[in-house]
Amino acid sequence: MNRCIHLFFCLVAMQCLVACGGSSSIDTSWETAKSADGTYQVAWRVVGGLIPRADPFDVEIRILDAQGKPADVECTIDAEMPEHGHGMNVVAEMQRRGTGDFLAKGMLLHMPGRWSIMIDATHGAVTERAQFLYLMP
Amino acid sequence: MMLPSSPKRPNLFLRIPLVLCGVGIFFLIAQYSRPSEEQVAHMRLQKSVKLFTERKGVAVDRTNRWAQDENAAALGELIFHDARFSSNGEVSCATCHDPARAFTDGAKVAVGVGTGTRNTPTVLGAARQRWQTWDGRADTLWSQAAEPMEAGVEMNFDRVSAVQLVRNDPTLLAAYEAAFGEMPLGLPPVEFAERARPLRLDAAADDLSAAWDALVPSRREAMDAVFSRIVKSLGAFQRTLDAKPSRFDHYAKAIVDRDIEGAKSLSESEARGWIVFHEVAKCDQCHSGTEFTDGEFHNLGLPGADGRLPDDRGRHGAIPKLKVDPFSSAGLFSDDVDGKQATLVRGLKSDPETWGQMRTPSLRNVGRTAPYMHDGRFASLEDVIQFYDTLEGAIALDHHREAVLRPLGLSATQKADLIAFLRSLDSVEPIAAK
Ligand code: HEC
Ligand code: HEC
Repeated sequence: MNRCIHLFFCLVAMQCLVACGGSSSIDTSWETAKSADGTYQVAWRVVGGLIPRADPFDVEIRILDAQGKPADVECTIDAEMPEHGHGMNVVAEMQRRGTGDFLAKGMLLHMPGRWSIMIDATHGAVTERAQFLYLMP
Repeated sequence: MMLPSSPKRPNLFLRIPLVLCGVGIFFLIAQYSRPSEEQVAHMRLQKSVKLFTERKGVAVDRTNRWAQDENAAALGELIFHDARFSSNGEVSCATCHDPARAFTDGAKVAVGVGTGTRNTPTVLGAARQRWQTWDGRADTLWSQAAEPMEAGVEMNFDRVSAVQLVRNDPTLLAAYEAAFGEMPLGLPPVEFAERARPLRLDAAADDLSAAWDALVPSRREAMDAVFSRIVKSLGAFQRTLDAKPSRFDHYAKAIVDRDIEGAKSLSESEARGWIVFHEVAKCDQCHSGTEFTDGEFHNLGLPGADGRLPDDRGRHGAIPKLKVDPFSSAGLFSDDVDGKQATLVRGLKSDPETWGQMRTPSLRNVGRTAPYMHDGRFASLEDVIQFYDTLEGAIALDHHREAVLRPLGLSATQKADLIAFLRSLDSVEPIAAK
């Protein structure tokens, strides 16, 4: 009997997974990664939760230092399509909202495919990059 | 799996059949619930066309406070058809954007007061576009209207004469005042006999630009203020010229609703053409979304006249203009300088990569808007498809050409299907003969 129940839940779970796969935009609530040399923890999320295709959107960015405190850095964001050899047609407008707290306005990913989103944290003369892959359906 | 509550575990001989039974049931259910190939294909089709059933109305244009004002649209309609807004009194917007030809002219390149270098696109559905014209050098529908009126080869009119014409013509003045209130000039109507307009970027200085520079700044500002409203009225009018639903839209809805009768709004060939477009040729990597455009710019590598690099700078020439245009969404006359569009304009990059890029055109009503491409080089859809199929003559622009383009090698049937599909994107309802 227990097994049957298990089986039932397995099927329900699988059904849910299949259903989720059908949605065309991906929820990207706070993606995080370490910057290239491991100095910073970089987190970003899309305002509104979803990256729209070929429409402008804004991104919130938080950068923490090695101690886990908001990092005193400058920040830029860019995106490119490695396979197509081009990037965005625009530069996002970066607003600093506080230490390690940024809002990038006017991002625009206009084509389906693999996008590499690059967030640079600069302190003095040193820039470190955190990179994220996003597959635009 | 530990089951702490069961005091005695069933012995091995009992457990094996139980497991087998479970696996059996699993496969039975899996088999039973697995859709047939046909069902899978239908589900894929449903998913691919669902987007078109969600097509919304034209979005609000916050950069033009009068975008939805009926009085403004009425003035815009009058001006759209009025050839007096040209230096020779013979060219109106409707000369090139002829309602009887789906708001195009059928010519390779536009002919107004002079002969231009670009093909006339339709204005149907233009209100849905992020950038106007092939190179996107206007970012709002209303600011676009300032261009042809003052461009030498199009209407060759000028700002001062346009303001004066509206002010001196009782019908136009009444329509203007109904929309915008009294004209804020406070000057006698015949005062500005001289033609004058600001110098356009990339144009050579002439008498008209000299006359404009000679005006006192306050008068220039007053002219600009009235002129901005004149073009905003043209924006309001053109908003009403939407690309109406097509047979393909009806088909998409029928597919999603599983309405077998309705799905017959496309022939088999047209329906197959969508699959070629979407799955085989992947045209919607650029011609994406409900308007069949990503709204952005690409270089297809179309060769210049002698098979070499083309002369048209495309997007590259447009960006500097947008950055300084007082009529852009980020400019002085915009009603939404902090909006999304203005942010994009401020963020535009002038990469060398933008050289020769053109905006992906919408494909709605494409069956009615021949000839094709920014320079009207292809007379028919057959010619367009032939190009995409072979990329013959295309210039290898290193990384400049879109890496997504490759010769398709379609069969004759696939090409015919693709063209049939493109023709199903024409709106069903007759185009308003306004
Ligand atoms: C001489 C012919 C001609 C006249 C007159 C003319 N246009 Fe155009 N129109 C064109 C051409 C050519 C383009 C494309 C321009 C380019 O890409 O450089 C265009 C582009 C447009 C677009 C952009 C459509 C799109 O898909 O990007 C709009 C909107 C438009 N015109 C409206 C008008 C209005 C309003 C007037 C009158 C004030 C007008 N036009 C007068 C030929 C003309
Ligand atoms: C890389 C992006 C891209 C892809 C992929 C693409 N197009 Fe285009 N398409 C464009 C651009 C950009 C133009 C305008 C080019 C110009 O005038 O220089 C265009 C023009 C056209 C036109 C002419 C429309 C007009 O009003 O003049 C048609 C029709 C067309 N494309 C159909 C297709 C079809 C069918 C496919 C698939 C086989 C396809 N396109 C694939 C970007 C693309």
